Amino acid sequence: MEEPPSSSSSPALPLDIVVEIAERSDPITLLRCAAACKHLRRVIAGEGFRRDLRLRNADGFVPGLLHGFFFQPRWPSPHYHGYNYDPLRFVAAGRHDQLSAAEDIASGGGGGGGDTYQIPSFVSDSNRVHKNKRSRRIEPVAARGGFVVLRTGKFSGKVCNPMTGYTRPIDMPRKTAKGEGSSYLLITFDAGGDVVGVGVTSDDSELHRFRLLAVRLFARTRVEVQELTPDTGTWGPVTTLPVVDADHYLHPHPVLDRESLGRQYHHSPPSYSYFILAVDVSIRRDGETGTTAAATIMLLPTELRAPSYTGEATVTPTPGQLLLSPSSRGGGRRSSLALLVCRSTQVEIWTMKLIRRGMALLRMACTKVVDLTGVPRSPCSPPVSESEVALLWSGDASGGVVLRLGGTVCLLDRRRRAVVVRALGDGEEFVEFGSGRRHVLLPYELGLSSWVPSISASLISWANV
Amino acid sequence: MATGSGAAAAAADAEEKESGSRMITLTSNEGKAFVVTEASARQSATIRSMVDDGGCVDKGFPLPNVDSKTLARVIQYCDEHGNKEAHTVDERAALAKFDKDFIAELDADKAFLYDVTMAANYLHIQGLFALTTQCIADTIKGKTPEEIRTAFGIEYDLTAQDEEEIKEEDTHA
Repeated sequence: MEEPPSSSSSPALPLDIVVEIAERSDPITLLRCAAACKHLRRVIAGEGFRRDLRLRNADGFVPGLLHGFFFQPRWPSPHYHGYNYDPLRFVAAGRHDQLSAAEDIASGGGGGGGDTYQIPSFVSDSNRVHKNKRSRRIEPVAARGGFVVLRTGKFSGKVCNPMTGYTRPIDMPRKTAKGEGSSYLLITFDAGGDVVGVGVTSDDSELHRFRLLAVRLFARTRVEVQELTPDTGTWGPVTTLPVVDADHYLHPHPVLDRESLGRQYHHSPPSYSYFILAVDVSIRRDGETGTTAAATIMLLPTELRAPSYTGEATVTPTPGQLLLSPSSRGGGRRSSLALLVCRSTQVEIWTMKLIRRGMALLRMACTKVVDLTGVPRSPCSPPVSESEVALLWSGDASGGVVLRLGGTVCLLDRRRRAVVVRALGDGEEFVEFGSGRRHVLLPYELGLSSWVPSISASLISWANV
Repeated sequence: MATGSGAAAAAADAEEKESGSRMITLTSNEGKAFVVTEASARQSATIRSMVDDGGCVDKGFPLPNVDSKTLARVIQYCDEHGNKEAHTVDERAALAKFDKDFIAELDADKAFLYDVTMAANYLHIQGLFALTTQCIADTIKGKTPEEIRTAFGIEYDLTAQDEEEIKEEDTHA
């Protein structure tokens, strides 16, 4: 069928199949493939490759980009007012196909794989022993596309990329008494660009491949947006936006703030109703710095304010039970949103129909209910009460949603027609959650740009080790 | 699905309903005939489109790119996925276990694994292709470019300029 290989000892594969294999590997291996021969180099660095990566999964998600999560338990200190921090760990997500996660940890966790060098060094840097155990802490405030924004002090923080070793110290606005006064929106160029329409082309900045915005919502009326200037690590001027369609449910200190695709932004007050705050963060073509154009508030439907329609649910979901998530219904190129609502035994997926470039909510409806009763969990005494279930994170490149059921951390995988929920970290029980929930759990997802050699030049060095 | 006149479409629909019992013959490049259920054969998008186009179902399908050993193994996969239901959790688990065992066995014989991969590619059997390429992708994790060339039988064709480029990128790191 094929030309016999030049060397009889090793079988050959057509290069177009090798490209498909490379796509299914990890970023480091992909780069090494790109250094193997001219054809692979051309294809992998080429324009179409990134698109193919995304389209390979019909729904536009690349599940392999979710690598796992960082986990750091924290305990109230017996000696002073504050917390002690355990060493940081990284828990691998496991393999993203039918094979078991345990096997992956056995084969990939220790020997080879892209995480072997980069992530452990990030972990050990964080864990470098200081006299004061508190300095071990990581305080993530935002993460996307391989980048993580950490607070390191009252006025300081850093943006880093554990995979590439990139670190940039930055200023941080001071926390308010109730926690972060700002919500941070991290946008990496590959997450935006063509897919989200953030209006950033990938050559805008060769050095710093992200934008970081701090968004503060002030009661009812206005939103303040500041953008970080990565070159200096300082924040640019404040842009004040009037809020359109504001209702009477706002609260100055957002309890929940999670961002989704580029311009969406989510706040919820600890009151009876939830809303979504959408801030347009696209850069105008002629703009020197990032200027935002609009902010609107979209109230969630009455069912979510008083969720009586399920019968069993008699209490309003807590912020931890709600999560905004990208939804790729209708193809990978058009971004849309879904709101996930986690109950003790199920996750409801509410699909939203957004209009006016995503700035207005036309309607939303619960389109799918995922049963959680069959999901293995620890301690294994379902149903876990609703206070013990939490939606933690949603990845806009991998499409995965990380949730916690009691002490088990699970991945909700929406890429197949049947939504699959499985335990992460080989089903390990994180007993720490039994004694409080203030632990750091930071899922780590790479961006597609990490897969493209010309962009992540620093990764090439590993390709030649 | 069926195109053409209404009568033909109706006939095709009727056939569609019968498809569970219809048998299809696949012939390897060595001339060996394999008889499979249509449901099994439909795992292959290539064959599926030929069948749907009203092709030569009776005459069977010669597969000049696939040898008997490879075809037998590919059919094993198609039978499992085409003839069995996968609606309940248990059924899906059984299928997942089949895939796991199937690929573990193939993994032991690289050349054969490549043959099955190429056949899956040629026949457009999406599930099988995903299974084998993922398996191969896992085996090349952490390998150097040289090892990757060896693994896939790729000839070294980088020019001095390419190497210079790679070195250049190195110094940025």
